[in-house]
Amino acid sequence: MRKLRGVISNSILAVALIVSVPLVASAQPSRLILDFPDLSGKASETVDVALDGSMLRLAAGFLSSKDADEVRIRELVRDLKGIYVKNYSFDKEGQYDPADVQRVRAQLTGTWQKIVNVKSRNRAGTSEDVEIYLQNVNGRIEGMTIIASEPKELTLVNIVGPIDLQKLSALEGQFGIPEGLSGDAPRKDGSQ
Amino acid sequence: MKRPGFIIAVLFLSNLLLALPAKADFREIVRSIEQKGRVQHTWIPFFWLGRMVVHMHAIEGVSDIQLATFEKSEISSIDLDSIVRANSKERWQPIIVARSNRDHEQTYIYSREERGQMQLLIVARDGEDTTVMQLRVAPERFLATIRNPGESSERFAF
Repeated sequence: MRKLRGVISNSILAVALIVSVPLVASAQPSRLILDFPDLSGKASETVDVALDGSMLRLAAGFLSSKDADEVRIRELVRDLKGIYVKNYSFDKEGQYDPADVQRVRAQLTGTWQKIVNVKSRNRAGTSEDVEIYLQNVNGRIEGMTIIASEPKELTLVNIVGPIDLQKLSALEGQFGIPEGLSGDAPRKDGSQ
Repeated sequence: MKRPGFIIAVLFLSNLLLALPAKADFREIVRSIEQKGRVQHTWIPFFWLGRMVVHMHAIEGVSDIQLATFEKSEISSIDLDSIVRANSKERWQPIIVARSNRDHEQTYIYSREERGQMQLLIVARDGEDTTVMQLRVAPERFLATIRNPGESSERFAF
């Protein structure tokens, strides 16, 4: 899974604009369908992480109250209703169709809004496309979806529940969530 | 007069009694795999002794372990997840599922809380071999498992 450096930190303004225009709450679900059996069949490896609210609260209870990082994780996680991550790895480029990703985007309508779309290329020349969507319900962020696609890898992250973006960096590299969302961590491959 | 053998036996039996509900689930899951796959799990000599050592010393945050392995079995078509769901009195929550089409491996990691203690159930298939393992773990071990799901699924892939 590649890092997604600097994505959130460059998007605070966009988030502020979105939150300042509250949308009417609708029945738009926060939890998305990320499981696509046909895609799993084509992938060489898949990792599926599903942590619902009760499991997250249980885990939060085990976190240290003295370690500052763990306190931040605990504060962020205790109100979440779930973290769901699906990672597909492929042996060859082109084994998954961009239309496969469209099946996720098709669920991100109504209260969901795209706030970030970063297309980048690392030093090895591999392209990386990161899209971040927030669900804005009456001015509150109630969900987040990250679609990170590379030629041989597709990662889908669905965070359900109220999210404090200022504390989001605490979740980087935790519970299957990619690193580098806040831009604090250097990329392992050295690219920017 | 001290009777260490008696004391050890009492300790071991009390541990077994405390673990009875979990053990029942584990047995049901193993039995169901045996019935559906028409196989017997492989007997591991002196496993009870190892289990007692784990219980007394909580090695790497694991304070109880139950293990069943099926070697060279023709159970590749069995849906292990449905067996776990059908044979658990208390719900196991699937938290990590890893599949490798390349290596024909599947790893399911489930979790649940029982009397304030965390338990993990790991069902892993590697080609013709299948392993079912139930662990009672310390909070730190449970946290480490869910905070690094990719690493955990690799560690438990037998």
